[in-house]
Amino acid sequence: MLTALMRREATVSELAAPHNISLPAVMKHLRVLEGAGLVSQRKIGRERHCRLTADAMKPASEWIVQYSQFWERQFDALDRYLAESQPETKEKIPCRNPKLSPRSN
Amino acid sequence: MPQSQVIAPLELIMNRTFNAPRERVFRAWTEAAELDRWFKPDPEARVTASVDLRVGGAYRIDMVQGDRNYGAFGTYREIRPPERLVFTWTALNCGDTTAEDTLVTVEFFDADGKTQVTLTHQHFPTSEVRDRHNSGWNACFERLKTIL
Repeated sequence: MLTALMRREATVSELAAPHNISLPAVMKHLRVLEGAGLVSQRKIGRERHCRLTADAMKPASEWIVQYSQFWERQFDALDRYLAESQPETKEKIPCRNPKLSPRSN
Repeated sequence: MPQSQVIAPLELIMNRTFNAPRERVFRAWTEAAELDRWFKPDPEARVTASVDLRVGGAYRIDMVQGDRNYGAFGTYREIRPPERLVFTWTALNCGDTTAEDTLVTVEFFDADGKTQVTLTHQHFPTSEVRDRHNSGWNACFERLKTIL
């Protein structure tokens, strides 16, 4: 039902049509979704039209996109910072023989 | 999309390998003086971090870029040097900050002397739905967008 609503606004009977459930059962399901803030309903004439609440869906996908960009940038910054500060640290990685302690540094 | 996918907590997982031992990378994440120097999405930003590195201790990171102030604060949930760091994350100056209820887990894996960092950022949409009338979120992302 949510998939159908992701495509476009639909009436209650349109939403019920592909499913083998009664109209009251669909309406009950819609009330649950409405209560969760995912779906909103409005009455046009005798029909109830339902649509996804954009506010409920949009932040989810935006959150993912925005924060993946944010952390990507932070990783870039850390990468640069470590590259700059690395020569000053005593923990420089020995290239060939990691078992040897790098005392010569 | 099944209903569970909409309601399930959001989770973002990022991986990156850094050319430094994990003690070094862990320190970069947990010392205020270190964070000051790198924790900025833009090189122009000025960062001031404060860190109370113990479980239940608070951290706060303020970033200033031009006339914009932003950042984050939270508390440490788990500290296991040099392998694991868990803290809550609430964005600062992003409208109603209480709308943000997120958790960040940073894991540090040794990869032949280099460090693979796996960052998991979880957001709990149950509170998002509860607080959906707060527009803080969108304001926050608008702000993030302008700085990224």
